[in-house]
Amino acid sequence: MIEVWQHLLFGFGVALRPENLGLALAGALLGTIVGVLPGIGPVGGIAILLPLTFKLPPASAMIMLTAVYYGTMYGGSTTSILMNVPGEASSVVTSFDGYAMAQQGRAGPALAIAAVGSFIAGTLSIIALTFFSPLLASWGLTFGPPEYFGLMLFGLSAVSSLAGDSLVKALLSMGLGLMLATVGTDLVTGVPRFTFGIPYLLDGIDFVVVVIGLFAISEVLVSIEEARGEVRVPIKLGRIWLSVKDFLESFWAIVRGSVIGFYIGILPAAGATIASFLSYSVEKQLARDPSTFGKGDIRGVASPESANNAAAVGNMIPMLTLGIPGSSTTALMLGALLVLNVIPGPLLFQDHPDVVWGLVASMYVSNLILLILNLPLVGLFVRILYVPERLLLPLIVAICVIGTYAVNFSVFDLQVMALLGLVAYYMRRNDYPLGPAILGLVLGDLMEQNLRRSLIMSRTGAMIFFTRPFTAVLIALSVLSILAPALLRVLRPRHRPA
Amino acid sequence: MTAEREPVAPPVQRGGRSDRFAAVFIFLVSALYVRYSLTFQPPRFRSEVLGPATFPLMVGGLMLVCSTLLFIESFRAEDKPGAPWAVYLPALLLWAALLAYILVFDRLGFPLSTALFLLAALRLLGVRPWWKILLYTALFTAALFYAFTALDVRLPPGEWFRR
Repeated sequence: MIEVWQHLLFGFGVALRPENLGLALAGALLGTIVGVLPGIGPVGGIAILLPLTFKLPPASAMIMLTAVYYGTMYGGSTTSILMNVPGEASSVVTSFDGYAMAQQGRAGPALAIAAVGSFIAGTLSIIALTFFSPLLASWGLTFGPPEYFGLMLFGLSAVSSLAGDSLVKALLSMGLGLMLATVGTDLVTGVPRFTFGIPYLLDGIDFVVVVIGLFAISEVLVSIEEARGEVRVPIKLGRIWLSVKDFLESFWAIVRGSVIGFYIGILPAAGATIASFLSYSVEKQLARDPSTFGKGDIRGVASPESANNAAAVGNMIPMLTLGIPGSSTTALMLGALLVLNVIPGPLLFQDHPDVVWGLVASMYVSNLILLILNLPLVGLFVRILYVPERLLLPLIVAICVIGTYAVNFSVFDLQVMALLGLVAYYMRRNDYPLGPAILGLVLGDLMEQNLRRSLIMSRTGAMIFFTRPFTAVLIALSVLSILAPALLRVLRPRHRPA
Repeated sequence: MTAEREPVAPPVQRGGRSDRFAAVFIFLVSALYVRYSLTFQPPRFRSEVLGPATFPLMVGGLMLVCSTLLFIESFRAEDKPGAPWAVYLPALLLWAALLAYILVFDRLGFPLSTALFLLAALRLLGVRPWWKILLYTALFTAALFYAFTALDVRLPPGEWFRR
């Protein structure tokens, strides 16, 4: 335990360096602005801001990205309270009671409890993360390639099985990501794959190019359909305050939301959205009078907001300790780390303690920054909502183009980005989830490498995946998570109208 | 209140029919992907290493199976009458503008191509009158230029301006 304190102290030394503190501040601000922008969710927001971090050392880049991530989540709940427009799936629940409160003229307390709840939940779960992740990392050190292959397979299949309405579409989306990952020179054999003789493709398609195309461009295209209509007007803000009574009323909701969110967040695929729905329904069931929920109950804001923040922290644990992302956002962070030549996983704790502990410490710091900064500035952010989308969207596209160009100074990258943007627009319009694609893209290379290493160390060929107990369990779970929906459909008696 | 827009074109089919087309398209692309994978020659020396084709073949196989499943599923899905074409048009036009922007980005250089794109995009999204479009274009282009130059990003000045 003493080591943890030493590491943490060291981490704060990294996070509190003036330049890193400045980056965290800038990241939190930019993230909130992007999060408030209609139509741009956290993933798109991080994608747009990714090129900003390239020139930074890894620790600083991660610190900034974390702050951006927190900021976008914060911005997303602001719009769902004030405009009933959740910026992302995980703040949908917030809009039930948040928007109702705003309509009753209680927008101030709603925003305040969202901020305070997020802060408390964030801090509690970062404390849990601080003590939990070294343990998981040291367990991870005992894993070999077969275990990693199993973990990645499980991560991919769990995300796909929970991603959307159609499992087939989710798997196709995952396949797209995996296909994109195989483009470029094969690392082991040196054979060029799917390069079509184009020299640009020898190094593979850059992660940032794909992410900006898939997430940012397609989000802009989707938002355009609504941008030409009337301007949506957010509700009047009023004073941002929180009475002691409001706080005491929601205190236990915050604590319960934190615990639920944290544990759900660690599981692959579950993440912030499920955590927010689950904690909301738990609160509703525990309430003496559940009928107040949905009509502006402050606990209905406090609980999902705490849960989604705690889940965002929990999500980071498998990504940092094992290198397995469980959500689009953490996949994005993993990709960003790989671009910076930092490979997350148990060894990260040994090789790059400055990245790990600097990041952990900066999570404490960004949380505090957001609380201090955003409550007074919420009025300013709301002004952004008054800027019509038809002005913002062209600007966002231009930023995407320049950001993509800045990666390799290549026009070819821009063409790939535009093409993927169109593909993702079709996918969004036809209910294909994009999360599996990004996960497939990030994990593709790693999966292939671990598959190869497993087979090299194996004397029994592919049997190695079934003779190692943990790997066998993971593979069984993967198969189960894909087949479960189909099995349930067969087993459950159908209710047909007579 | 805005009046409801008249559908000017037949609605785009979503659901079953659209999925069927997608399934066929994905199947064909995956088949090409598998075909291309088969051309990868495994290295002669290290025979214990999994060849360069194996993983792509697994991925391609997954895609072939899933696109077939999508094809089968599409007969069960109902055809949802989607939005009329006119709804998708602005997005597609903006995408076309983006494509044009990208294709001239190197040649015209950053300031000119960005200004032209912003001009077209703002007009497309319904910003009026012209002086406003020009004002925002100038403002945004300048802001982007200074922001990215401050971030140390080398932006192309344009071949035509380089003598």
